[in-house]
Amino acid sequence: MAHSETITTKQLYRLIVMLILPTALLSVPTVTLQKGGNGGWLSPLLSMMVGVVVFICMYILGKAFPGESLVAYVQKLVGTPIGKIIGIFYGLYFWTSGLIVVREMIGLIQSAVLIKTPLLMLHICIFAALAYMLYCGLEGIARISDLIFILPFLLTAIFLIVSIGSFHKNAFLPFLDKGWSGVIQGAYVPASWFGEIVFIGMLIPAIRTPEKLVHYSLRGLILTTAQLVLVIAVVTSVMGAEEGARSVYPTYNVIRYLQWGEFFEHLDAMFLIPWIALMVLKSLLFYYTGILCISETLQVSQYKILIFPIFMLSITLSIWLFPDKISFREYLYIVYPVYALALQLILPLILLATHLIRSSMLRGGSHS
Amino acid sequence: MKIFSRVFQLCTITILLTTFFTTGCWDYRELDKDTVVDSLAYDINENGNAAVAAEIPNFRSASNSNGSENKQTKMEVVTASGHTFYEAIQNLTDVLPGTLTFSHHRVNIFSESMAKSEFFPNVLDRLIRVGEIRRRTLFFITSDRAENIFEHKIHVSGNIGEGLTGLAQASIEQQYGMKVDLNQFLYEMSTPGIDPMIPRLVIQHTSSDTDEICIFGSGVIRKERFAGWLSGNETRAALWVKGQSGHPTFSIIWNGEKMIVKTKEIHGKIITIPNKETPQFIVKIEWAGDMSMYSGDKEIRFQDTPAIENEISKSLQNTVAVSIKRAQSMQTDVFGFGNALYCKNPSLYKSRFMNNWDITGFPNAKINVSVKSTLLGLGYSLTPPEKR
Repeated sequence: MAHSETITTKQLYRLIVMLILPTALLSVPTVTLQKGGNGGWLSPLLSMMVGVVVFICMYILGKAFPGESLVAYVQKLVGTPIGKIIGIFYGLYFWTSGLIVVREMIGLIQSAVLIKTPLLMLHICIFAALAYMLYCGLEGIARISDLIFILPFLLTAIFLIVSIGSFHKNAFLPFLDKGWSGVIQGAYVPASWFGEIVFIGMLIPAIRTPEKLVHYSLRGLILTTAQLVLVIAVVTSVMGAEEGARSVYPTYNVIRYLQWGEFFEHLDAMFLIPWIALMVLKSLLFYYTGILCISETLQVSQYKILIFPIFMLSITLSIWLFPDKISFREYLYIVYPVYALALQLILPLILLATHLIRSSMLRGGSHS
Repeated sequence: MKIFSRVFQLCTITILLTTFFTTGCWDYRELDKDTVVDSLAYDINENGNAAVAAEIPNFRSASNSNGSENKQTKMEVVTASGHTFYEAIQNLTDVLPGTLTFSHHRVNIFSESMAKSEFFPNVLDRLIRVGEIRRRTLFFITSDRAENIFEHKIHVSGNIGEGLTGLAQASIEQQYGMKVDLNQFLYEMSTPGIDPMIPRLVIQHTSSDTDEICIFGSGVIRKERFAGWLSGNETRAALWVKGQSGHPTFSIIWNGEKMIVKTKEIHGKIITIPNKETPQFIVKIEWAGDMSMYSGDKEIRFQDTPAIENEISKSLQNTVAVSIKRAQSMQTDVFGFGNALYCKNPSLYKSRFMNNWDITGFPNAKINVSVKSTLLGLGYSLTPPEKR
């Protein structure tokens, strides 16, 4: 399917930052501090490696099949029937990832701001807005990312400046109290967020200047990692590794704690507004790629036809799959990394290996 | 067709915006119908049950006044009891017309008996779990009944919550007490080798009708239970060793006359000496400050400063050593010696002292205190008043 909508590599770079950062920003300190102790801030550096590997896979495959998306060349690589199954799997993966993002967003809104508002109402409200934005297409999503790109940096800067007075410098001693094994274990769950860069497999054909793809994508990954390292370090130094690991939303807790003098306090809204904007963009991207995957695999002429039914299903599924926060957390930390890494890392590696073997065999055949 | 599409778009945007702005209506709150808990006092009553007293602002009294009247919001104290503190706090709603709100909950006052009981960890757990409560909420402890604090006054403050917040902030200067919030308390409680302190509220009896409240000394918590009291000087010393600098004044005797010095900076550092048998530490304290008052009539010259510095060092050394001895006898490491050992040699700490540092490690530790004092100035006068 030819892409009628196009985006620039700069826009893709912004999308990468805003795809990985928001979920990780809220949940990553808990996981990394639980496993890695006061060395948890190093875990995103290892997780980033997964993102780099996935990107390399997608880049080589995208270059080998120019103008084709992931689900299109998968059918050429492994045959149409298996390719279609993989395409459906990817569609479901992106869809459920979008669903998780919306559920996490609703979870925080409900526990922090709109406590009495029914879950269904929040779902209807957010999915209606998402549906409208999806109808505006990829270019619309990219333009939103241009507008709100500054927000995560502003958020991190405020976070860092205001928290300076509350630092405990001894929180980082002894260095790596749980050792490197803890840091590596702590990198496992965030790796599934970095692996989300697999979405570029669907967007490469829509990029106007693919020659700058490597530069901007790696820049996006490095920037995201730097921000995560910074956020985890701040959480560690303000709350301590033990307390940070116990907290459900450590970053949000630190934001609520921060105060500058007697006048600059209760900064919750300053965190929630940009964070919700980022989460909306993230879910939009997932839904866009998910719907694109399904429509290309099933050869639906226009992906926009699928928006309404998928969103109706999403509302039902979100409430049915995750009726409470406990089941959602279990899913996010235990189930999601397994199947996400399988589709983000293992399957692309298999596809790359298949492509390399196939092309070497073809070359060997032409030589003989 | 184009007009129809425009109308459709406009309708969609209108519906979306209306939905956005009205979704929060379930959560609407009227300020004067909320019962904002400003301060909470936790105690154990005669039956051994949990008892709470809450200081609550009465917004209605302020909102009923005319614009020209400068009526202050009246504070009311409400009490309740229950089998647990959670239940007791819920029981407050029996006598209050509004919904309890804790977003602006500023102060927690614990009584000694409550902090000694099994209720204390439960209250801590509640404070962390209830999402509304911020980690800025302050901790205080008293040997009186916690509820009694609400009956006394704090000068130049509208209510106890505001007054205690101000007192805690001011105590940073003289360091007879300190400011401890939930975050700081939890940080110290979860850090190996350090026991948290809570500032002590003391009711001072004055000649006037109402007694006054002040912060003096601290209560020490070991393993989520109250372990004992530290005096004002002992609290000061603990803060110095922990590296928290204030601007305390203290007096020394020099040449048989009283001299008061004011601290500009005081920094403490714990140095761990490797020793597998008995833990050994050196506490290095660096003091810098000015002379604030001298009662003698001798003119102080440049040559006198080493002798004055020596006296200051001796005084500080004595204060710190006494404080350490007291803490060792109480088996509570408020200074963080255990933490210094943990940071320097984590494997030794984990293998020998992880669960019993306060009982076997700290009381037997050999600790030397060395103080270096620098007198920065003699103030703006060179000679005592008598000389004039």
